[in-house]
Amino acid sequence: MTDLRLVLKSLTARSTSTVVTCLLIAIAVALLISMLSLREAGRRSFTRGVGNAHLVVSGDSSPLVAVLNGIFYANPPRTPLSESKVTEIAGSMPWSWAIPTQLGDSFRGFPVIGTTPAFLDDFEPAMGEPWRIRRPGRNIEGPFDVVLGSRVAAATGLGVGDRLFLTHGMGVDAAGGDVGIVEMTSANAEDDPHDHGDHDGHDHDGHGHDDHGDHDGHDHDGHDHHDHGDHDGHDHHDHHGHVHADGSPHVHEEATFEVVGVLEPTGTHHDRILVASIEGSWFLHAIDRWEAAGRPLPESVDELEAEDRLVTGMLLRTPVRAGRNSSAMLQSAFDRLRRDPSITVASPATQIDRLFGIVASLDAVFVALGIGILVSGAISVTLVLWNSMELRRRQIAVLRVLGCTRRRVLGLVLTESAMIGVVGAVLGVGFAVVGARFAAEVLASKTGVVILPTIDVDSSILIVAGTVVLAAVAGVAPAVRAYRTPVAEHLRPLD
Amino acid sequence: MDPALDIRDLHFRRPGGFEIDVPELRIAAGEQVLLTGPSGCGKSTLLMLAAGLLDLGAGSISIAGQAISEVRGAARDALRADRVGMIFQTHHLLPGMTARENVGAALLFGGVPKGRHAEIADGLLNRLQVEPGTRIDRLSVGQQQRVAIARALAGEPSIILADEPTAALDPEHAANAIALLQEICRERGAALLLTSHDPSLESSFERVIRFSDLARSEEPTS
Ligand SMILES: Nc1ncnc2c1ncn2[C@@H]1O[C@H](COP(=O)(O)OP(=O)(O)O)[C@@H](O)[C@H]1O
Ligand SMILES: [Mg+2]
Repeated sequence: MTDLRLVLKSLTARSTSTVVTCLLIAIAVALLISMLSLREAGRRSFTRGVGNAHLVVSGDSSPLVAVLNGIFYANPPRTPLSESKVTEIAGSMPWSWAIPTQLGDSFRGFPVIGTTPAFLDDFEPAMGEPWRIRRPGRNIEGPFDVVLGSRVAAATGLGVGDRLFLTHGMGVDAAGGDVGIVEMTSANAEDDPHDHGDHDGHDHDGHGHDDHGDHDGHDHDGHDHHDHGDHDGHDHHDHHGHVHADGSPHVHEEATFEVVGVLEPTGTHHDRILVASIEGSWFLHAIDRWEAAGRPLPESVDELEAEDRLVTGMLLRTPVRAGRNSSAMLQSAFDRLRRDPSITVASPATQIDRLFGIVASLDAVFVALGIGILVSGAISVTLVLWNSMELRRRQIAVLRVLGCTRRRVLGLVLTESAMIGVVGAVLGVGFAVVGARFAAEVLASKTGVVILPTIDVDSSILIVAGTVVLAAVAGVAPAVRAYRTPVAEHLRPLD
Repeated sequence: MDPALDIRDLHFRRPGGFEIDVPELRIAAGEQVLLTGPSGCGKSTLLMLAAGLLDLGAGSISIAGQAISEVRGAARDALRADRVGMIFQTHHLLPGMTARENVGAALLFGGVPKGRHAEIADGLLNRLQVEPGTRIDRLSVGQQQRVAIARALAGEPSIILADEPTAALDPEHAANAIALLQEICRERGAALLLTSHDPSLESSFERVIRFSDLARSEEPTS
């Protein structure tokens, strides 16, 4: 028999109200911890996702949008930059590197970045952590090469040697149910002439390698003649009946891309992209433009015109040398680019600070909400204990008869309320851990923003300690009531 | 040896106007006394005073030579924990706990080392033929009363103050319970002051005091 056992017995004797108050406190604690932790994790994740890019240039209307589009692949910018502008910017400064990016195509809802091999060679998706291409595999070289981010590979099951069609336009998010608009073909499909009716874009997701040797990036008619027998080239995009009548998104069967590499996970949103050659991207766009103009379609990337050779953005890095003030150099590069009214230049770091400045006010609402729930939890602890004192006066009187001091009675009740706080807080930390993991998973699969579902230990300790103290304080009034319980009156026989 | 209970010139007055005056009451160590009187005469009040659970207006009360009326607060509680055991008409056991835990609760506040609690509890309960591990709500009324007896005796008190302990029992069980209580008090060397409004118990006690005599009396009752 111990004091603690007395307290636990008292708690379990009113298990329903104990559970309810513990849950109330747990929810508040979980809310507070996840708000504080996710805010920090979110900021870290965004900052990390910037990688080693110093500046973003695009035709977007605002710097924040330029960063969200250029680095976080939110939307393809409306106003593209011409190739000559790209060349001009690239030559305007002794950049460490300058990489053009073309956003606007997608594959099963994953964004495709048309770019140069430098994107995988020089741009680091996280600072100090360069891309790594899984073996066997290589960087993009030819116009119809594509390298898959690790999440893309995992989600589609595609691997090196597989072929795929890209969609012009960002497509519909996976959750929209329109995934599979974009077909990939595997050479294996050709081996099965009975494959007719059930071709739904998912049944060829194997890693079939092209064992026919007749792929040149344009000639894939063979596959579909098997399946449909009515495929006549360019004038319909009704590939397997999945493209909508309104014509968007637009499947380009004219160009087959070949997977030449798969990237190792980087733990950033960059794992959700497909890296394609910029010429291949241009080629897709050219098909649309030429078709609309009623012209015969281009046969190769060499035929493309300046109007086709557009990019949606540029990533830039100023040289960083030991002993040199690189931030001064960055500042002067930034100022110079800003003088050009036809482009928007943005520093990702600054824009992320701005973004989180906006988000912070929203956080405050949630933190206030958490504190509100915590306080109401504390009040309910007070009420529950106060009422239980009414019922337990006899029991307190018995303890006094046995020699328990008033002060010890006070301590028992305070321990009891603090215990509710401890259980609630620990439960809340558990909820927060599970919840953060869940939220991180949802966030990663929906937006590709990778946040580490770690709980901020310092703030958690503070919150847990604060909760226990608050719960103990909530027990003061009932404890004083217990302290004052007159003994003799409560030992009279029950009649 | 100091008397188990020594009351001198006690005066107590409730706010409601009820008054008790006890010029002298002395119970020797190990002595067994029956205090009788009609309901409402003040028997329970006197036991509460003796246990230090009510503050007296004047006079002094000593338990085994220690003046419980002279100390207050924690010191008085400690004296009660070590020297006094109480039994009531209603058993007042802690619900949801085992017989062993209930007896152990009495040791929580006294000077007995923690390691001996279970051993003491089990010894007493076995002596009283109650299974120590049983939850008290599974016990019969008679067994519950025996757990209450064990709890009162656990701290090796100098005196047991029993306030109408048999009022809830039928006469046969009541007689057995009294016999058992007297026997175990003798074994453990505790004095016994037992109150009852039932005169039929008088034959069981070598010393019987009527409350009216006690209160009115100007001279020692023994
Ligand atoms: N808590 C109390 N508050 C006020 N009066 C009380 C209280 N307890 C007992 N009394 C009164 O004190 C008197 C003595 O009661 P009590 O000591 O219980 O008598 P007994 O135990 O002999 O029946 C009675 O008049 C009773 O009404
Ligand atoms: Mg009474």
